Amino acid sequence: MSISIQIDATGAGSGTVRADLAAAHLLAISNLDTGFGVGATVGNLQPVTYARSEADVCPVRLDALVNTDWPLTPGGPDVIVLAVGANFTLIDGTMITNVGGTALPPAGSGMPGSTLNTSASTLVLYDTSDNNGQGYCLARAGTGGTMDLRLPLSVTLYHELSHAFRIVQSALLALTAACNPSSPEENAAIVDENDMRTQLAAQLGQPVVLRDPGIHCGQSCGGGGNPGSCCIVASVSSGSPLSAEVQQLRALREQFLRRSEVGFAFFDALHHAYYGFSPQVVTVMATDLGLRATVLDGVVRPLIRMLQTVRDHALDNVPVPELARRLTADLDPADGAGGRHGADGARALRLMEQAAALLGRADVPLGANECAVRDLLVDLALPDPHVHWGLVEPVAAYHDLLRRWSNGEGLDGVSAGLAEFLADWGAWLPIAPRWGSLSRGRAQHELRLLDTTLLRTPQARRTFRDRLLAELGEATAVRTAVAATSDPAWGLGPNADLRGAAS
Amino acid sequence: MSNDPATGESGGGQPGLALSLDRMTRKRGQVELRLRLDNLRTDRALHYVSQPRAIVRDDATGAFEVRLTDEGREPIPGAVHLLPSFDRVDPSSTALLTVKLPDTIVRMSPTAGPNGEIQVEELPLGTDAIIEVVIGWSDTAYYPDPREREGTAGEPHSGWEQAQSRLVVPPRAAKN
Repeated sequence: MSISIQIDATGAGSGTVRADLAAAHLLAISNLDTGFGVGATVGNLQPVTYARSEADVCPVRLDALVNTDWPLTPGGPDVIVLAVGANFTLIDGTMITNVGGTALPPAGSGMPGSTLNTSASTLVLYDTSDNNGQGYCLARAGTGGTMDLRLPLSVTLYHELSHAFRIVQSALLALTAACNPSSPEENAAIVDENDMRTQLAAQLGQPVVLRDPGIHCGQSCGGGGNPGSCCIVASVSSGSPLSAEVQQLRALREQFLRRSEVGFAFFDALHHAYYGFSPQVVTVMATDLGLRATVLDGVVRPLIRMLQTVRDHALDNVPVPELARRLTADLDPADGAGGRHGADGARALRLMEQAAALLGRADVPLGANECAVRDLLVDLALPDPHVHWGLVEPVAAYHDLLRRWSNGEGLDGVSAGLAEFLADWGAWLPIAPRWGSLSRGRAQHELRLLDTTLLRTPQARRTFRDRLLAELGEATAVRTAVAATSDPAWGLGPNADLRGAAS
Repeated sequence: MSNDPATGESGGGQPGLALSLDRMTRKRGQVELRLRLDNLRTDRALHYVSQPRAIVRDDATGAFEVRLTDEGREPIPGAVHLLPSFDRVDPSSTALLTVKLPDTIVRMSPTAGPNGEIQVEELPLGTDAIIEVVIGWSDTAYYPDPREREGTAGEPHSGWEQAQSRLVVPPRAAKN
């Protein structure tokens, strides 16, 4: 057989080698053809079998790769597929996340990359972590190089199989250092990749969006842009990655929170923490409709409402009483629908209590799955300062406002609670290490941006600057920016220790 | 291309980018190095690669070289050519760069198995590991070269580097 999947028989890959994903992605390439299969494992290899019944371009290519004994590697296997995680490196130390995937010609073949291959087969490797969950953003065709096109894993594999197809025929095209324009070899692989994009779009019933074959450069998406990798708890609880809730969260993240350098860095850290617990959480949620409803109404929707409230205050200068009025319109149990999202007042309160318990903030009886989620959150999520500040605190604040409303404190009580939250929350934004490597001008710009959005009271500005100096005050740009943007009365800025900062 | 880690001297009498360890912490699944970058030049900002590009393990010494540079790397077929991120530090200024590394690397073994098959191996960046950091830098920002070029020369931006700064992080430097 001409294609085999590498397995981790010795356990050395410790979960990094994902033969199961390789098989799933090859099946997607076959267009879910029932003739696709894998044979019995021999040593570290699992041979692929394929009796094709699909006539599309990608299955035909797969058929040729699987069922031909290519002369470069007589007796085969011609191609070995190795699906790996983000912590995988090639022999020369290159991190797999720098290339997304690669196809290495057989050792001794003299083709580019062959010195990094120890085997006599063409080796296809690809990153199944999707760049640590942040995604690879590529140039979308017809846009002049706009880097907003994602790289689905089956497309990554098909791109590498395109290289492999030419390698096994000793027909690799020129491979140059430039990525814009693409080298002839990469141009050809992207043209092939677009066949897989077309097939995948048809499988999913989505419009076809193609990659620009003339540009091989890409960048990290930083976790945004793709419904498939965004907000998976919201996706599962709301039933779809295309739901209104997920789209609202994505819009808030992209149009408000990630627009600045430190906001972007905050989300890098948040995404890292989030993907440390969310896959386990959604596994528990997947089969429990009640739990999904609790998470949706008790966590996801409150988070959206609070972030929207912060956004409206920060960007549109909506006054607190008006924001409180909008929130209480949502909370009003007398509107028949029980708030515009369908939970009546009593049920909403019950849900809030359960949701608060999931977050380890209330003591109410929970079912087995709810306990499992709570334990995951308490152990893996809540200790992380980014999760705590960005997800838990806004939800907890919403729960507090709901309690005030249900206790009869009225609009004034809700306004007071909201004003307190808005005044204090921003000051405790986790200090991103990114501050330490900003230029002076950029650091100053970021501080001023925060001052006009999240740090709208003198106390919040002072508290945040105190924390910033304590954490990263050794960085010249940080000291200078604090000095330039602080009120002398705070005892920071010009009065702070600014050795070496003046210029 | 390497410079004196203490003075940032990069040859030719010009001071450069001095590199030192500010802090090292270990978190679940991650080793975090906070590096202090001092630009010793008074006239120009220095631009540097701010993201790890390779982690090379020296099998003879067991040391890990964390490379924030693409120097010497040959082009290989790939799904995407992910350009590194760059940052800069102003003249006579200090930057604190945080570099995050996985606490365990899985590497394709340089030696094939007994039947010529591929082998993978796990390499923990344990508390006893020696880590050397290499950062490529220049006094001019990187601009991509849009010209079509023949051949398989190294990464396009590796020619941009003027020098590299190095730092050896001793074992057990981490604060938990």
